[in-house]
Amino acid sequence: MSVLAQFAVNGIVAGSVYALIALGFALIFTASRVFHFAHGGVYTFSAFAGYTALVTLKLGIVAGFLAAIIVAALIGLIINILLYEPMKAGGVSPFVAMISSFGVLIIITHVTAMIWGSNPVVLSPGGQTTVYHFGSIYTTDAQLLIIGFAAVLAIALWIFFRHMRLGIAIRAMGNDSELAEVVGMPARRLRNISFIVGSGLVGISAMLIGLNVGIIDFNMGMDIILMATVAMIIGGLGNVGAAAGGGFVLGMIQNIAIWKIESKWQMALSFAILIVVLLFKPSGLFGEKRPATGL
Amino acid sequence: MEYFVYIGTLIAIYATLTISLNLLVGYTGLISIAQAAIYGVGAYVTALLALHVTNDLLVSFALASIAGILVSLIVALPSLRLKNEYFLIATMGFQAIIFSLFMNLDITGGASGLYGIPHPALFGYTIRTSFEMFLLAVTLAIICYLLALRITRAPFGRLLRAVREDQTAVAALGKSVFRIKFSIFIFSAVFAAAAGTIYTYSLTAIDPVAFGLDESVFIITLVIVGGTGSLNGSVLAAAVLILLPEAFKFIAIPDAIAPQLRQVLYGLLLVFFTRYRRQGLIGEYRDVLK
Repeated sequence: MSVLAQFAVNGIVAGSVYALIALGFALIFTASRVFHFAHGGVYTFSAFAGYTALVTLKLGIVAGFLAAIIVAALIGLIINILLYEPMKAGGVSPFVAMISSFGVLIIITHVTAMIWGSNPVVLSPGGQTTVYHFGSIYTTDAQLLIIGFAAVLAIALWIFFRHMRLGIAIRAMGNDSELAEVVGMPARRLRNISFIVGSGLVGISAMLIGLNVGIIDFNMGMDIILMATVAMIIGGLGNVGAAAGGGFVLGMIQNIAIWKIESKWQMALSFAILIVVLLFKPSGLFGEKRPATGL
Repeated sequence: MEYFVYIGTLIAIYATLTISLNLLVGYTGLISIAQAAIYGVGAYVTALLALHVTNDLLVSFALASIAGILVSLIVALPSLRLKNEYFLIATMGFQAIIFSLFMNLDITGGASGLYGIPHPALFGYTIRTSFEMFLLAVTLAIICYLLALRITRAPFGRLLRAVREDQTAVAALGKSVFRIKFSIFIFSAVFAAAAGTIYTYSLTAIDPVAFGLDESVFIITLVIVGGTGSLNGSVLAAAVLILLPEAFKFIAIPDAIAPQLRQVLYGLLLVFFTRYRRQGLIGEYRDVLK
């Protein structure tokens, strides 16, 4: 029984990790309708920026987080201004921007490897996290922070997009940018803000996750952005709260499945779930009843 | 000399892969990101056959193609029901699942892959030299090019383009959009798998990394850089993008960052062409990526 409980706790932690990445990813998707795969690159790069401030320059934990947040927000903003906005203005569909985004992901990932090397580096040497025991179940302060932060953010963003005028306006803009401009919304600025906030969030997530795992490496953004994509789709597209829910469900399933299925099949299992959801419930588990797919 | 033969073989393999994917992406508007997985299925089936059953080249081609067709059936049946982004993501899902099978099954040798693959035999003659393999790769690329040319110029080719431009109109004419898409998917898979056969026999060792998501994105990059809907463009892009990083070897770039620089270059090309030149180097259909 306690084994299952430990799996469930691990599931909550993993689910919160996916939820954190999916939140920023979904925020950006809601505002711009772009599958911003480069988000995975921003995640990696900001973790290394935090590493430089925290470990190399020994500026302390606050500076580490600040470096990660600022660098992430800047890169996200630059990608939107230099790539997505001109494409949108040129009448190119978000679908092409999605393909472009793969290119940006590859560039950032390998530039990170060129700057910091292709070997993993230690972000948090042992002893920086405190381990808590609840009976036979254990967790750490970094994990509790991840769970708390993911929960607070998910609820805050859900309220913002459901019940606040600006949030509803941003969703409307995602559906039809031209119409939003016609009614006087500063669409460009709102999208820029969404990229700054969404990317800044991934900076915080990168540091939290990096501190929890202990080591970071240049390739880590690739897998995490795939999981965020799965989370966003199984949760429900165009809905930030649903994406977080999807991340949570994904993490739980992966970790409870370890009971019966070897962990090496986690990736395959996640994508199998994705395909089943795409086919049978394309609006996602928590999304609106509006099919996002056709034919 | 050996080096140039090797590069030439690689170019021929990638030209085959790029043409086969271009039929989906450029002509039919199906942006599939599972091409490397099907290529890998061809490669693994060939390697397993050669190691355990037979190294007969024609048998290898036949069984690799059949395996490629079967796997692409599994990929196509659900994915083809989805549109645009969702089609791409579904194929990406299958790419990840198939890669995971290469990586984790016992029979595929896990992360270290399969090695010590014997040379292939054609009508009892054993193909030993890399130059003969090069000729074989070029022959496959030429056959693929000519068949693709024939298909795209035939009435069926016009149907493909019609599907790309307006599916509803094609359906209104009483044609089955699904059947058209399905047929081209299968055709594309045969050549991707055959390219895998050549790859396995050329390298005599394979591992999963050559058939991952990065590789699928690379083949898409080749299609886009060459020009969606241009067969000549696909060949040109394969040649240019394989040769370009080789130039790094002749200028003073440290070995440690050369592979990274190569990826950065490919990423930059993908971004540049999707942003500034969506018709590719010599493509004509600007509207495929719209």
